[in-house]
Amino acid sequence: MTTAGYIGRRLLQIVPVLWFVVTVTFVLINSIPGDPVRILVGPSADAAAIEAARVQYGLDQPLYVRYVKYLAAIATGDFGTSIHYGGVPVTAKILERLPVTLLLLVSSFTLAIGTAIPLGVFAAKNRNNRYDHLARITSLVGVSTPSFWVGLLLIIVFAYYTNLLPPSGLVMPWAPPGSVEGATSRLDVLATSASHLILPSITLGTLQMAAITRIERSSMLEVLNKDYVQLARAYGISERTILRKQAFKNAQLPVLTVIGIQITTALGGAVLTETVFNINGMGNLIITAVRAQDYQLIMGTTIFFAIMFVLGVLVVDVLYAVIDPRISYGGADE
Amino acid sequence: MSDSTVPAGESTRVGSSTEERTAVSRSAQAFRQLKRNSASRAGLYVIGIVTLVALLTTIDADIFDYQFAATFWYHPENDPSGGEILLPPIGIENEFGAGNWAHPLGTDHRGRDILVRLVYGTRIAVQVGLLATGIGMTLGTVIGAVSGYYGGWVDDVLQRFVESLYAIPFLILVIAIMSAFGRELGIAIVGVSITTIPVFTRLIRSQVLSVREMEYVEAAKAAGVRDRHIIFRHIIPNSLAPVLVQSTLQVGVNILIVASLSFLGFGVQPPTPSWGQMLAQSRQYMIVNPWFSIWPGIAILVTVIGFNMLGDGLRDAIDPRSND
Amino acid sequence: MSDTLLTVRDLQTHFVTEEGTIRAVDGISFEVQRGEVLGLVGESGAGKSVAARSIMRLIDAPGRIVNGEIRFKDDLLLDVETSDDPGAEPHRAPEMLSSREIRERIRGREIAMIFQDPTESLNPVFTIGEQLSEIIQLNRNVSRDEAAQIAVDRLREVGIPEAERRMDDYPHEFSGGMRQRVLIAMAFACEPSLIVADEPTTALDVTVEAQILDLVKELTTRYETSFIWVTHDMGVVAEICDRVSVMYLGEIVEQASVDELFHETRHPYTEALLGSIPRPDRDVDGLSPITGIMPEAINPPSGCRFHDRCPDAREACVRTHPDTRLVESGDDSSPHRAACLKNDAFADDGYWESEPLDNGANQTEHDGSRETPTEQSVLDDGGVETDTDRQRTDAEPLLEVRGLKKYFDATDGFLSRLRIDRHGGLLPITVDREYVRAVDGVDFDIRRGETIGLVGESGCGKSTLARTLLRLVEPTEGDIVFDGKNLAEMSGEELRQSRKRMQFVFQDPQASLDPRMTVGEIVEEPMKAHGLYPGEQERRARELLETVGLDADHYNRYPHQFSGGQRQRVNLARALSVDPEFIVCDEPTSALDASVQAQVLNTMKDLQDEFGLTYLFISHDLSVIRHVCDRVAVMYLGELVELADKDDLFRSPKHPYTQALLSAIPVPDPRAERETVPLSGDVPSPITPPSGCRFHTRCPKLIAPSELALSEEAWEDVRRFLRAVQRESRDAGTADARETYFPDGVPSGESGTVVEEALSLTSEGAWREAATLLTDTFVDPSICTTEDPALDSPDGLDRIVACHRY
Repeated sequence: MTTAGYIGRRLLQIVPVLWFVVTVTFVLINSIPGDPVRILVGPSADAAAIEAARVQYGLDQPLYVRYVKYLAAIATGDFGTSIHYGGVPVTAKILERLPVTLLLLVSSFTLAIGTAIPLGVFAAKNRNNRYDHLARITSLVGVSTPSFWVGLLLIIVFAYYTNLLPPSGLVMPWAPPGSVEGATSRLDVLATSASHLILPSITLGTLQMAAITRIERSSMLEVLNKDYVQLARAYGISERTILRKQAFKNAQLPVLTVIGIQITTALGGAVLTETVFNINGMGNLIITAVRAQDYQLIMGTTIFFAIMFVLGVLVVDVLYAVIDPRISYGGADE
Repeated sequence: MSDSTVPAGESTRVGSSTEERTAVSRSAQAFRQLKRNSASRAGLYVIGIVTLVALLTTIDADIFDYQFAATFWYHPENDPSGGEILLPPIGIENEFGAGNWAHPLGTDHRGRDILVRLVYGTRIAVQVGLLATGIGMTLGTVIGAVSGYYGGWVDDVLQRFVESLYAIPFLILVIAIMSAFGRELGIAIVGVSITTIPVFTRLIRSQVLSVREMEYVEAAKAAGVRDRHIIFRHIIPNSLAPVLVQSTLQVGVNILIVASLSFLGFGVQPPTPSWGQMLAQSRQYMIVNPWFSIWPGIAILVTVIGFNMLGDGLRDAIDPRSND
Repeated sequence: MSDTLLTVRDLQTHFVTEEGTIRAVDGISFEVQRGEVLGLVGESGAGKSVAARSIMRLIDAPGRIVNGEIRFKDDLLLDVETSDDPGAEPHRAPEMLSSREIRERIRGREIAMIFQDPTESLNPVFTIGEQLSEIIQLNRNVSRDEAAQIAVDRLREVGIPEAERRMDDYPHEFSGGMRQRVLIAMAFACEPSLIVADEPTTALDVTVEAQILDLVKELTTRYETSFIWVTHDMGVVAEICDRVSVMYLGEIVEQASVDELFHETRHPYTEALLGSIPRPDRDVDGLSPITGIMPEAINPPSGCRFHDRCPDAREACVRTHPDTRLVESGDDSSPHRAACLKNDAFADDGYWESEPLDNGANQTEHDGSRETPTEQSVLDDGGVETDTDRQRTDAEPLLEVRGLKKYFDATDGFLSRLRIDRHGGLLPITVDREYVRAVDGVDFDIRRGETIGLVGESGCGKSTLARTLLRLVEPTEGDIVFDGKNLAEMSGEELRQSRKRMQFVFQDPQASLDPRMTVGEIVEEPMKAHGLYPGEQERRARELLETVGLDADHYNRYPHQFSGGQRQRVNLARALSVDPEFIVCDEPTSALDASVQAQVLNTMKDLQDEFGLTYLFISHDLSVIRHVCDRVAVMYLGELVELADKDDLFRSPKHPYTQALLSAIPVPDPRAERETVPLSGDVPSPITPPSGCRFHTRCPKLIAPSELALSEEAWEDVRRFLRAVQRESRDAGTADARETYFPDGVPSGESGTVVEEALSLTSEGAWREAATLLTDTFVDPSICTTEDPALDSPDGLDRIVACHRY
């Protein structure tokens, strides 16, 4: 089977999962105790206004009708309107915030993977000596630290005490130079953007980095004990080549699985990171929506978070299939 | 390489040739292994201390002296102008004054003693961590065991359900649940338990599936042992070891989640002291008294490390391959 | 001895563990001559693999070579000495090669290695071509393209069809036998002087093993390569080795040419080892097992390490640790050495003067008379059919199997996930279901009191058949009538009740015992389930433990505290606890060492006599089958192909598959002549089994299509040529091919035209086209391809056989 065919299949499998997600979210939001319309229109509204709102939002219809209508609507990309933002379509609001969160996620994962893999390999290579212990302790602390606290500490040290980096906000690298304070050229924008990105990326990436380091180390150790690595040694292949080639590719399979699991943690972490650094992304959006009890917005953002997760896992699965030939060809042999 | 010295299938025989052997169960062996591991011992100590502190706080005023108790809540007597707010720890000075022994770790923005609030925060953390994990583990284990044992459409439906729960990032899911049902601590616990379910369902289901195929289960079946007996005597006991490991690790994870929720303003509402909420409150005062932000983080870190070290130790004890 | 390639002196490799120092290899010396195959034999735990790896210094922590000198050609691979002080660092001689030199000059280039498990030895994420080329490029200083070319040549040489195309395939796309061929190609590709092979055929089926042994013999002669061949299988030793070193507990106890070792054995351990293995070529009445198990290498016994299991042990053996001495001056190149005080070379040690040792091993005759009913001598070829055998044969059937089928759904992985998605209701996807036809229409009877053997290669469906018989897996179709009642139609509770009459003993003695239960609980469990022996279950469990040769006090122990053989005894005790009539044994001894296997087999035989049991005995090992069974059924790809009395079957197998299988077993006797029936190719997939006779794709006795009217000789030539083309034998592509394969001229008529065409195709290298052409003409119209042979008792034959030849 080709990789494209495989991706196609996996995409098809996403549909029922998303449908279930929509259903769960819908049921959840509609099981709010009390009258949602009253919350919508505010406590001072009179009976007529409540009734008008009820009709306006279609809340006079039975639950299953609304469910079917909602399904039909989101199939066309219509997630309703946000009350908190004065009737702006939810989709528009989400699309405005999505790039911010994606930028944050991509940069933090790049940072995490980029440091974790060499660190894990290094630890495995130096098994049980002091570098290994140091790496293991570091990663243990890493998986046990609340990410938002890391953010606070970073702000204290790098923004308040040393004034090296900005404590809040995020500038997109593709923003027009005019819209960014003190920037006259694309280069300025990029520099500003990078300086804003460093602290949030570390904050969000710490946990991922620690988790990936641990799995990289143990996975590498396991592979280094395999017969085919012994065979490579028996044929005179150097330890360096084994680490870089023979063992490395195999060791990444469990690592990919863990990265897949970390996506869900990272999406939650994005909410915290955006709160700590006052970044206007999806995370801040959902918090705002919840605080304002803006239900259409809550549902929309929740579903979009699920979409991000599912697509992230898809990318991981495809990578897995690319590395492991037993998967992409159907895997019936083993 | 050491494998080659000991034949496959005979590896557990090491050291057993001496005739003087008493009955030693696998779990006893695992426990001995655990005790030998210094990291997991340290983990046990940390958890022990934290739990003890949490228990002591429930006895309240009798054990903790009045001064602590008095500063537990916001008191009008602690007039902000009195200079008792945002004090640094002992040995450090800031614009509000110098640290003193009355408040060894300093005070918060309302003049409350940080140490006392940390101590009381322990109760919430441990309570929520254990409770949420316990509920999630029980439900997840039951769903997973049912799913794995019966298979067929029951398995399909339950797996689809669990998979979609898993597809919503867990923090988002808890937030969505709390936006629907309220932002109290109880809802937070329920929400965190729900996000914990898929973790255990997946784990126990795969365990049951593999244990179900073990030859000793087949042997029991071939001997004419009843299904019920097979499930309770063979399948469940043999599937539980990784659940034990995971639940220990999960307590740590759940403590982190609840702290995150409190930090975001969900869950524990002021003035009840909780570590996450203290961190949230400290954000405004980071410049003047960074210690306010540092202490609760350390408390969370130490507690979670304790559970992680114990969990890692348990895993190594049960499956020695997972480490070295 | 100018022709000595490798000399090992006093090699010691130890592993430091928490329990103590495991002296895995403890002072062994041997040498390897140019062009010879040296066997390193022993049971598991003897230290033979560690010894093999120590030669290339491939020992990882916590292992450590503490002493020894290894000289290879002019290089000093190893020269280490460690003083006796605890914690002392080994002293290395300055001339010894550095790890870098070993890696760059020796490994791969001079000494290559082949491991036991071909599945684990190849890296799953790189293609065969990448792996081969990398190693060839490294060890032969050639360019990438040249390396690839060498790789293709070598793959072709080891018999991998379409080698060029297969370079881009991944290991999982090869069968086990093919993978081992790839590894052999890899070893020879670097043109080393010595190849260290660690149990290279143990993981393979006998027919594949025979192919591999033949291949290795051929290559060894061609390249004059020496081998160190590590194995536990005396048959393989007799087959391939020139000289043998027998290891016991880290030491070499005997060393001789293969013929002297088998026929002038000088060490009781070697003797015992040879006595404990069942023979494929003759009946052995009662195996003589070695008592006990090999002790731990942590605290080896004092004196001679074998003394506590040795039937000839005397007091002197406890006192004196014998070194390995020359015991017979043989010829210069293969001195016979042994480490046993019985030999004249040890005359000074007072063996004969000391008292015999009372260690249990020399008491088997009295003490264990029940265990070995007749004396342990070897009967003449053919054996004598006893009266009991005859009686058994005529008895009424206990179990009748009719048209039994078991299909498994082969759609797994994401395919099955897709199928589930249909329940979601959104995607109308249908999936073509594929089935693994594990058991596909099997009929036979099992008679009361007999032992019926079921034999076949891995994947033939024998284990599935066994499980289906007891309805441990649900049959897809067919009847299983046990003592008049059809098991296939029973309800759950009826079935459960009837289970007390039939029991199962599993292959893996460790996996079949719940690690969390004590042995007592395990043995009592079936009694509890059926409410038998109320109030006396513990007493009975203790009794049963003694019956199967364990101690009643083992009642409170856990399975992990036992050795493999003991665990299998616990399994037997559990099976016996409900007084069954019928026991299915699924490879009950294949996880055990030869000496332990003999113990367990003897016990099983005794139990049968004592309790009048009926056994279905499944094994891939025909020697074991010959030893324990009355009748034998042979299975291939889900079907029975032959069923006959043991003696008839072994004396004159009728089905070509049975013939091939029998001829493939290596006989543990270097003087035995054997002629292998060559089997080509691999076992086809049970998902799409071949049409007609399932064996026709590999059958050496394929029947000629009748319309071609070929003479027997001409058909013989055609078949030989066809096989050569399928294997892509190089000589089938040369100009001489016509001479080589058709010495009497190409057959006339249509067949001749086709052969000519195929010859011209092969000379152009168009192997695939040639093979297709030949198959279309000669194989497809054959009755073997078009018609399914009935499993029947042909006229004049004393057995059931499914082959068109009868």
